[in-house]
Amino acid sequence: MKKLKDMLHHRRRVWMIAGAGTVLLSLLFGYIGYSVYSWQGLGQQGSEWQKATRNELSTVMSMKAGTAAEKSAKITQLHEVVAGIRQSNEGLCDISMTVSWQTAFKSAKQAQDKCQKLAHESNRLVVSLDRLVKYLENEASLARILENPSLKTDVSDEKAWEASSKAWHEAAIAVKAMKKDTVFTATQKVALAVVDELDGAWQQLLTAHAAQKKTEFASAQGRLEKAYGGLGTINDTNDHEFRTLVTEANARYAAAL
Amino acid sequence: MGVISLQNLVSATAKPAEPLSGLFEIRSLPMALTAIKQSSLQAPAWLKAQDAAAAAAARTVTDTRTVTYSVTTRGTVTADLAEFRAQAYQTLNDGRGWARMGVAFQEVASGGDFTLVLSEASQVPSFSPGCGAEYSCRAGRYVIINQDRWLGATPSWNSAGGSLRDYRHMVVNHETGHWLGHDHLSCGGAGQAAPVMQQQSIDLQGCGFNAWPLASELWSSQLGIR
Repeated sequence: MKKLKDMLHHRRRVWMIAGAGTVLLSLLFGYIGYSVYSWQGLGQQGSEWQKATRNELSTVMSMKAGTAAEKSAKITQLHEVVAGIRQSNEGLCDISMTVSWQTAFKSAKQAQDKCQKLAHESNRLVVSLDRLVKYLENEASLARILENPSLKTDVSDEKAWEASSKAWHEAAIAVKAMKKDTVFTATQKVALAVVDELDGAWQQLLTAHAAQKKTEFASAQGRLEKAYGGLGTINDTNDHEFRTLVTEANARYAAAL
Repeated sequence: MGVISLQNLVSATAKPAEPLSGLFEIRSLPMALTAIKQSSLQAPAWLKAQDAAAAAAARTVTDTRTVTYSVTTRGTVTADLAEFRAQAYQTLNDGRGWARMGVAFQEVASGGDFTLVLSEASQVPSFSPGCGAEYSCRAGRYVIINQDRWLGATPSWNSAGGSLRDYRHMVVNHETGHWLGHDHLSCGGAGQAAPVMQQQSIDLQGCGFNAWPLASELWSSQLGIR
């Protein structure tokens, strides 16, 4: 009877051990599966982020920009898309603490490194796009100042000189009052110098005109012609600065996406 | 500049070479700069006048031409002939007058390029059917000053407060102007100085009295001066 009892007790222990072993094994396999899923998901999350970002930028790029309103809408949309990319980029490489220790393994480390590289490149792209948006906003502000109708009228006749002088004076004040933005500094500096010179030249011309002084008038006329030539310098500087930013952004786009 | 469409990126994985080129079309500054008008300035009116005067002065210095004239009378002349001679000479050689073309007028005893006549009013028509007894006239080589006008100007001139000396400047310049090749001119605009070739004794047309040729009148087909 005692022998039978011992045998049954032993068998129960075996079953318990076997059951516990099975549970532990199941947990182990579950954890391994979860780990694989997590690390694969990290890579897939990066790919999906890349695809979504490309789509959003592509949609903005294909927006029409013929009229001033369309240009403005496109800048606003780009601004919003960049903010969205920045937000979605945050936590791109976040992974559960239960598996994060696995970076000690080569394949997990590779997945983490790849994701962090993507996060780094996408951050650089966001910075670049941010600079472009700021540049475009500043450029639009300067364009609005220079779109004064009095600057577009024919000034060959003396009757138009006073209005033109007044318009350039107002433009000089407005350009000086523009907010300072590092990304637009070079273009703004050139624009300010050129517009200021045009304002000065027009004032000199009107003074000589009122005094009917031929030599002073000729001198002011020469200064004015030279000052108008400066508008080309604004264009060249603006073009160079913008192209540099676009080239940089394209390179970062290629690296990140 | 070309704009690369990114539509294909939506479903494709291929990356365009310049994915952000679409940003170029957003720019508005290049167009704003292009729209700014940079026309060459036309010389203002005062500068044109100064240049014309300077050109005339230069002609006086470098290319002075002498025009000779004789003085005679017709009919009964009661005016002071010596005064007529002296004042006509002064007018003709005044720096404000035809002399600005680089012309010096010299009186000669007889003949000359033209004849300056102080004529009794009733005798003026005898020079030409186109001449009347009321005003002065020019007929061929004769520059005829109506004695009544010489002595009393015209009612409109006097009522406007013009001096007799200025009227004499005007009438000598006007009639000599015809000999130099000028026809009558109209007032250029209300408030402006009348051209000396305007018939100021008859109607000022809104212009102010002016005894001297305007810069625009400083030419002579008779003398080949343009």
